[in-house]
Amino acid sequence: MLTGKMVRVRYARDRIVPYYLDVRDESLLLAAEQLLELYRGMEGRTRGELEEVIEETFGDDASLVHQGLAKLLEDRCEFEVVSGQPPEAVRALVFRTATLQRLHPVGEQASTGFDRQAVLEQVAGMLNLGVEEVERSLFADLKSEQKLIRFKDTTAERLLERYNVALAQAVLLRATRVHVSITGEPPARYRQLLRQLKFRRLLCEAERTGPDSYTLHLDGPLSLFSSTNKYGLQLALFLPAVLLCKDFELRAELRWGAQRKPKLFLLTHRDRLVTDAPDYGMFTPPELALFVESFRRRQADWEIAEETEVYPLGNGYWVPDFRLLHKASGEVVLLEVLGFWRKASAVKHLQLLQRHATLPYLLAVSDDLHIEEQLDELPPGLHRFRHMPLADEIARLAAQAIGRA
Amino acid sequence: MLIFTYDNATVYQIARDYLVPAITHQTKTKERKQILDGFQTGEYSVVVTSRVLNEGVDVPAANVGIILSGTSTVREHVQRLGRLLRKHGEKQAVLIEVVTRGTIEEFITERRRQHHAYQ
Repeated sequence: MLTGKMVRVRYARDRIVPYYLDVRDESLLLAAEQLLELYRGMEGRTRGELEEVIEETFGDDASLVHQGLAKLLEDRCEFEVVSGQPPEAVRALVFRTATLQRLHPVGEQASTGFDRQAVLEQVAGMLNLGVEEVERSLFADLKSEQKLIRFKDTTAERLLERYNVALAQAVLLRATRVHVSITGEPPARYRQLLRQLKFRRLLCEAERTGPDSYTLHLDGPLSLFSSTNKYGLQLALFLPAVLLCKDFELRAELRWGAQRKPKLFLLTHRDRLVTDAPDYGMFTPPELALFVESFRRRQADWEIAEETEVYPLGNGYWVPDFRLLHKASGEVVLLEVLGFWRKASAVKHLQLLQRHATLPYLLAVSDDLHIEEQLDELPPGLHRFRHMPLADEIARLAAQAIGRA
Repeated sequence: MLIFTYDNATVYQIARDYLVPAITHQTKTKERKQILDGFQTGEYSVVVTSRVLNEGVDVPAANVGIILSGTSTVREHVQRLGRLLRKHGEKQAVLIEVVTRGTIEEFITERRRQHHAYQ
């Protein structure tokens, strides 16, 4: 992802227009290739060294484009703390030993003052290590000391394409509302988009605008009272799923700059942004995996499975997260755990379910993902949890829902 | 003794050379607490830090402060001073500023002293 200061845009009246790169531009391709070559050779070196080499190579010529490309390559790197000993423990011991020596100098130290080497040797002895290793471990967990262990290679052209997507993603971080109209996709694609919205836990209303078209109305991160960064990242990560559509139009209402001026950002398939994001097959948000595990372990009467079906619900759709099967009776309860939520939209959703749902259902929310300043009482039917749903409580409610409590 | 610097590179340079605990924005909460606790109990006699300690951290045990860089705002400076002036038994506190002659630091230290905390 690009950081705020790397974003390059121009203004056209009330519109924000990113400076997309021409992915066939020879000099840009060359710069991209140069950077790639640099990263390829740096495995095993530290982040600090990597930054130095980049600075040496581009020096003061490093434009925002170069910085941006380098940042995107850094995102493809895996860094690791490499140290035989936990650095925190090593340095605590070194600092304590140094303090003791300062307070109670031994022999010559009383006159010569602090003896760094002696402290290191003493600690090395205690830990059964070499002096050099102690020195190396001291701050091995600092960001600049982390070692590059893996770099996911790519091509110069792909890198430039990725840059353009990243530019659009960075602009979306400043959105209050985002409207996406999609036309002419097969049902499987819509299902995937809706599941992806769920997976990202975004606040969205989907409106069916024709037999094969949908308009998604999403909340932007700047409309939230809290979790703005966390939510913004999820919204940015949702963009590639939109880019996979053949015919789409995205309109984002922005608050731009320090003064938060209202601006518009438009993006359509005609901008020809290309994503190399794979079509994801995973549907359980990572936060919910623990709940599923605990439910499986604790509730022998029930079977829990991801629900992949998309149900029509009034004018919209409904994507529950899980299907709970009561083994003895074969009855099914659908469970939905809302992602980021605010009271008004959760209550509206509950009312839709009460009116249109054809199967027994449970609707759960977590305090962690509530994004308003205040929360007063919720109507019955919205089950509130502090972090994640609790397996026992969900099983009890599900039994109630099918009249087997 | 608290040593204040302007940038993190200097913090870690001092921490490595003199083997004293360092606190920067990269220091995790748990370790930060452990260092400050150790400072209170005397387990550590020196802590070196960049700007993160300025606000909202209480270190009444400190009685010597050394400021190694000129560039800081008046507000930041007064907060650093405040770190030292916490009441703690009968302690007397000393603040030492290292100012390089003939550099902008001379001007900055002059400006800082106009705050009423110095009057």
